[in-house]
Amino acid sequence: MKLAARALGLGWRPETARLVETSTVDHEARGSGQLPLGFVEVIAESLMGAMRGPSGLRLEATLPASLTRLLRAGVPVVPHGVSLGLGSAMPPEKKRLAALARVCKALAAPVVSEHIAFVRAAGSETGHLLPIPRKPAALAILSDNVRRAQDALPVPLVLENIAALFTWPDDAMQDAELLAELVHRTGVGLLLDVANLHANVVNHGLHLPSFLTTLPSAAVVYMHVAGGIERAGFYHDTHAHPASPAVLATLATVLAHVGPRPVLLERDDGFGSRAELVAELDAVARVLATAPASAAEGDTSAPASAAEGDTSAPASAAEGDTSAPGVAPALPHPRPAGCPSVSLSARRALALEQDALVRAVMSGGPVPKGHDPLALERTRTTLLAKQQRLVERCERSHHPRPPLLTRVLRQLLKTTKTTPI
Amino acid sequence: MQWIWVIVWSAVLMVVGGFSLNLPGPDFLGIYFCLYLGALLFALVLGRNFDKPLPPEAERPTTTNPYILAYLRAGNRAVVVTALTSLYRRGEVVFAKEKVTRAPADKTRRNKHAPPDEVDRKADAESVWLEAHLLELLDKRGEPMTIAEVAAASEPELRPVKTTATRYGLVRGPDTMLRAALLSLLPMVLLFLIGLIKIGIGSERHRPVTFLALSLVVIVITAVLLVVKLPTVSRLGRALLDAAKERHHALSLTANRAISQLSIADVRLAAGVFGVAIFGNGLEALTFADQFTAAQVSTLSSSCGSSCGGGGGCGGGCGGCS
Repeated sequence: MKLAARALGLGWRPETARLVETSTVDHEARGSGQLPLGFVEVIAESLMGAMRGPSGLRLEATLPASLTRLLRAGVPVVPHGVSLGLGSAMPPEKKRLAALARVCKALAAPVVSEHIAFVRAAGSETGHLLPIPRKPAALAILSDNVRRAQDALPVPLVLENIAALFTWPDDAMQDAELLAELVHRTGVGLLLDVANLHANVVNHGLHLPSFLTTLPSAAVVYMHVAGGIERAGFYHDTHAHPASPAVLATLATVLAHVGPRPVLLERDDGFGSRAELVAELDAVARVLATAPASAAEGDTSAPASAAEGDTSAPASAAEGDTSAPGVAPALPHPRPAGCPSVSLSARRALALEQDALVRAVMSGGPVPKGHDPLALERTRTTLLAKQQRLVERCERSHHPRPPLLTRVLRQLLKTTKTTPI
Repeated sequence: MQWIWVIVWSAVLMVVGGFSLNLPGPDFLGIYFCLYLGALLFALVLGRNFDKPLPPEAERPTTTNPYILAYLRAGNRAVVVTALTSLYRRGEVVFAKEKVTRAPADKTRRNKHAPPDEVDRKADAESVWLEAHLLELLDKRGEPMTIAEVAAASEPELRPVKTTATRYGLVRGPDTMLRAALLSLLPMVLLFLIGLIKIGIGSERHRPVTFLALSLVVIVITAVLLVVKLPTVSRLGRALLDAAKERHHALSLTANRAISQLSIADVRLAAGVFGVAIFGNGLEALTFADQFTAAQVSTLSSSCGSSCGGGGGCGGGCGGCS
């Protein structure tokens, strides 16, 4: 199953499962004005538990019935990993890779996506994607980790840029330079998250035209778009708000540069009504529909529907674009052979840095030298808030029924049970 | 096929029972108890699977009618509850003090779960006869009613649901029910007769027969219960309902987590197929437990492990809640 170049996607979550179904499998039967979805993405970790037997045995064919139905109907389902931590100092754990590989096989996935980030250090799971230092040593480790992951996974790996809560003091390269070098070293594909890009523009002054100029466009396999909010001058990529006009404008700019790509809307909370979510999908689809067939056409103007904001793309948009309209680009390069592995000392050095940072944001450790204390405090607050939300969601999920009215109405049924109907 | 089993079982019973008539009381009671268990098992299995074998999947009827599915799941009461769920979602009724009543005309919109989609509401109101009837009924009464009262008053309107289900072989007709009851209980009847004979023999020999007499009482009670609890839904009906549950798994997930993502038709279908217990969050007043079906929703660990949902950037590492 391949992703069509202008495919519109939606993150599959329990909350969106019905919408996904009515926009894919049941789309024709429903005959609504709803847009058809071309693909979906599912959090890989959410399936790992379901794919393990009660005693941890590896069982086949235990996907949720709704996903199985999508697969039977030929809807591409992309597993999206969030916990490999490819930017960690240590190599990705084999058991995590094996679990991800199982999910890929079960979904017959066209690709599998993960993040350029680390998620654990100092013995703690941060529950969040944290940025890696943009310097040669960290890049070498990241590249090595990515190669290990590529070897272990049965389908091509694509990596997503993240929205950084902070930057490292010794960053030596730009975001796009890191991406370009990573693609060059590993042949990995890219999942370009436009909302994260927007966050980095707002929060860290990333220069979008320069980013796009350096970005290896041909490596972009698909894109993410999501909503967020700006508080006190800092953009939070919440995935709980509609995509703002500014994010859609960024999407238009990026599409004008790289050419049509599959675009997926991510929503993890604050789903609102179905009409609102459908309207958001429509807005994304409008931007996608007006993207030039190929960046080589040089049409870099933003579509009218993309709303306000800087939507112009750099003049060099066409460079290196090899995508053909109508078909998602194949992964850009075969993996270069014979890359040197990383020394243990280099990994230890990075581990020390990541440990110190995680201690600072997770357990009140001292702020590592050169870091912005305010940025780390904001990171700490964000992580805490997110963990609290996750706990609340877990509790809701385990005790999904509110007690008071449930009891009242249960009583109602009990009392009526004795009356014959 | 069922006949063969009935004959085999009855023959076994008569032979074993007949041979054991001359045994001493305690030995006879032991054998009698074993025969009772066998007859009970036979009645349960045959009573449930009395219908014709299932046709190939492609030839089975399918339906997305929530009322028929509700009827297959839990009978008339489930149909009424499904309709009331839909009406509640449309903002037409409210629940108060364990009773249901019409929402005040000027406050129809006070139900926070009522969808804003006016077209959806109107289309539903026109097409769903049962809901229209319930509204009329509640209007006519002018006072709150219990679900049982609503169901009792709607009996004529509920009949077409059963008729349709019966026509398609999803529900057993009276003839089938009678045959199923007679055949599945035949061994139990024979057992009862053997017990009677043994009581006669025992009385003739001046032996105590109290335990055996009590056993006969137990057999009669069991038989009555088996008749009362004889499934009315056919094997085909059960297969159709199971298929609907699998087919609408996505609906069950969304109903459990985000009712706002469902249209009225979706809510009605979810209530029909899974029962109102499926509505986990958001539709508090409809989360009363269904008396027959505790809907089984496979909760994914993704429920807690979204990729983002936080501050600046997607976050990984769910873990913990599965």
